Amino acid sequence: MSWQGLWLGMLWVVLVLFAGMSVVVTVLGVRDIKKMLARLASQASDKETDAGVDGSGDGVFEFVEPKER
Amino acid sequence: MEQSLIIDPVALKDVISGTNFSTVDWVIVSAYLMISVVIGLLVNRYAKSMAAYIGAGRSVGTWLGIATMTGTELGLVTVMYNAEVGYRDGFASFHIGLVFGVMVLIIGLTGFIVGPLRRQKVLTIPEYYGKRFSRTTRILGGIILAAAGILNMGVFLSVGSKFLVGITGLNPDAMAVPIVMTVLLVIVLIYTVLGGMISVIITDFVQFVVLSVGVIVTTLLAINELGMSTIVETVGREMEAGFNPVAANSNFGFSYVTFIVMMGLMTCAVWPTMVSRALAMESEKAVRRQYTWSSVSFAMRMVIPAFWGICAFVFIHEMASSNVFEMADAKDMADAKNVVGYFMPDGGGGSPDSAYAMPVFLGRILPVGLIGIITAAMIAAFMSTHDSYLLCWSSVLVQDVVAPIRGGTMSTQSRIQLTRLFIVLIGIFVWAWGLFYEGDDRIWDYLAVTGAMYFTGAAVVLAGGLYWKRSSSAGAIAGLLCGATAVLGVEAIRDRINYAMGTEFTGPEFGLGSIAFSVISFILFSLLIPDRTNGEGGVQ
Repeated sequence: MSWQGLWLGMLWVVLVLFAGMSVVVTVLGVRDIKKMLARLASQASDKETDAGVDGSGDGVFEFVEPKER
Repeated sequence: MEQSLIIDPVALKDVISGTNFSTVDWVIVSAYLMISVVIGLLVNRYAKSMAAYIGAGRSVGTWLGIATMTGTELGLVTVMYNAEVGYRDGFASFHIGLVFGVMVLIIGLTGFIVGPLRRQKVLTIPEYYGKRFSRTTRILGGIILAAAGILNMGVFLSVGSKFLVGITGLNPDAMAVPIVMTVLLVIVLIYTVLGGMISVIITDFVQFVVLSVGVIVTTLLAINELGMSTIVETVGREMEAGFNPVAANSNFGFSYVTFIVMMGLMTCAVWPTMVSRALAMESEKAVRRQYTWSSVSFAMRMVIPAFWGICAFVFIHEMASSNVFEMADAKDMADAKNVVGYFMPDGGGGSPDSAYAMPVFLGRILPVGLIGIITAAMIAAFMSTHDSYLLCWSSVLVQDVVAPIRGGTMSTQSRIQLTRLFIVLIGIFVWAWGLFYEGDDRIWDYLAVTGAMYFTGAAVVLAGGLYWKRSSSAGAIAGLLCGATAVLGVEAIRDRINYAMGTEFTGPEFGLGSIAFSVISFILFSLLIPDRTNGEGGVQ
C-alpha cells in the first residue's frame, strides 16, 4: 500500500468511526450524567466525608500520608 | 489566458477581514458561553467533598468518560498546532495521529499503567508516588508536574486568540482580542471554581456534542469545496514530501517518528489530565473501555485538524494559480489578492504566520450560522482544555505539595478553598503569560519540551513503581529529576549545548536521550539505594 493510500484510507476510517462514536457517546453519555448526579446526590445526602463511609474509605477520597524515612 | 497571482505582501488584518463571520454567529457563540456558566452554577451543590470536587465522586460512567476525555484532549491549541503541521507538511503529518491513536488503543486493551493506578484509589499521580515511595517523592513529583503543566498551558491563550482573530475577523492590532480572551478565561474560572470536576465533566460533555457536529460538518464541507482529487494532486505537486514522513527530504525523518512513538506511549499513559479522567471513572473496567474507545477520538483530534491545514494550503495555492482577473466579483478578487499576498509574499516583506492559514480558510468556506457553531465548537475546545488543566494543576498543588508539607492536617473545606485559590492564581498567570510572552519557539517545540519535563520522568517512575518490585524512593527521585532534563531540548538551550560540544543533536534526539537517562538513573539508584521496608500498598 502506498503512503497516499494509507493516509486517505485513514482519513475516511477516522471520520466514519468518529461520527458513529459521537452518536453512541452522546446517547449513552446522557444516561451516565443522570446516574452520576444521582450518586453524587446520594453521597451528599449521606453527609459523606473525605474520611470514607463507615470507615471503609471506599469510593471516596483517601488521603494516605506515608511515613518519612 | 491563465496567469499567476503575484502581488505585494499585505497586512494580516486585511486578510482576516474577508471572513463570513456575522452578528448571527456572535449570538450563537454568546448563547453557548451562557449555557456553560449556567451549568457551572447548577452543579455547584454537588461539590461537597474533595472526592466530589476533584474526582466527581468517582462516579463517571464509560460513555461520559469518553466524552470528557475527548473534550479535554481536543483543545484549540491541538487543533491549531495540527493544522499548522498539516499546512506545512501535508498528509505526512497524519503519522502523529496514527501513533497516538494506536498507543491509546494499546493502553485501553492492556490497561498499561492506568489500570493498576485506578486500583490504587488515588486521585492524582503524585499521590501514588507517596503511597508507593515516600512523601518527598510525592512533593517533588507534584512540583515538577505542576510547573511543567502550568508552563505547558502558557501558550494556550495566545494560540487560541489566533484562531479567534482568523475566523471572526477581529482586528489583531486592537484590544478586542485580549478582551475576548480575558472574558473566555473568566467564564472558565467561574464554572471550574464553583463546580470543580462535576461541572468540568458536564460542560465537557456539552462541548463534545458541539465539537463532534462541528468537526464532521466542517471536514465534509472542506472536501466538497476543494474536491479530494484536487487536494491530493496539489499536495503531491507543491510539497516535497507531502505523504512520506520518513523520506530523506521530509521535515520529519526517522528520529522524529521514533520520538513520536516513544512520546505517544508515555503521554497517553501518564499525562495528568488524561489520568485524572481515568481516576475519576467508576471502575478499572470502565477505564480500559474509556481508553479503547478514545483511541478513535485521539486519532481524530490530530488527523482532522491536520487535514484542515492541508485544505488551507490547497485553498491558498488554488487561489494563487487561478486567474483572478476573470473573477466576476471585485470583492472576491480583492480578497484573493489579500490572502495570496499574505501567505505567499513571493520573497518580499516578513514571513507569514502559518497558524492563521486554517482559520482564514474556514472563515471563507463556512456559511453564516454554521461558522458560529464551528467557532462555538472551537471555543468549547479551548474551554474544556482550560477547565481540566486548571483543576488538575491546582488540585496537585494542594493535595501533593501543600497538604503533605503541612502533614495532612488540612480539612476538606480548606483543601477545596485552596484549590479554588490556585485555580484563580494559575488562571491569572496563564492570562499574563499568554498576553505578554513573545517567545520565538514554534508551538510544537514549546509544548513538547514543557510536556517532556514532566512525562519523561513520570512514565519511568510510574511504570517502575507499578511493575518492578525493586524500585525505590531514591530511584524514583533520580528518575524524576533526570526526566526533567528534557528541558535541555528547547531550541535556545540545545543550540548552546551543540555549539559547546561541537555536535548537531536535534530536539527529538535530546528527547530520546532524556528518556534513556531517566530509565538508567531510575534502575541504578533503585538497585544501589533500596528502600528498607516494602509495606503493603507501598506505604512505608
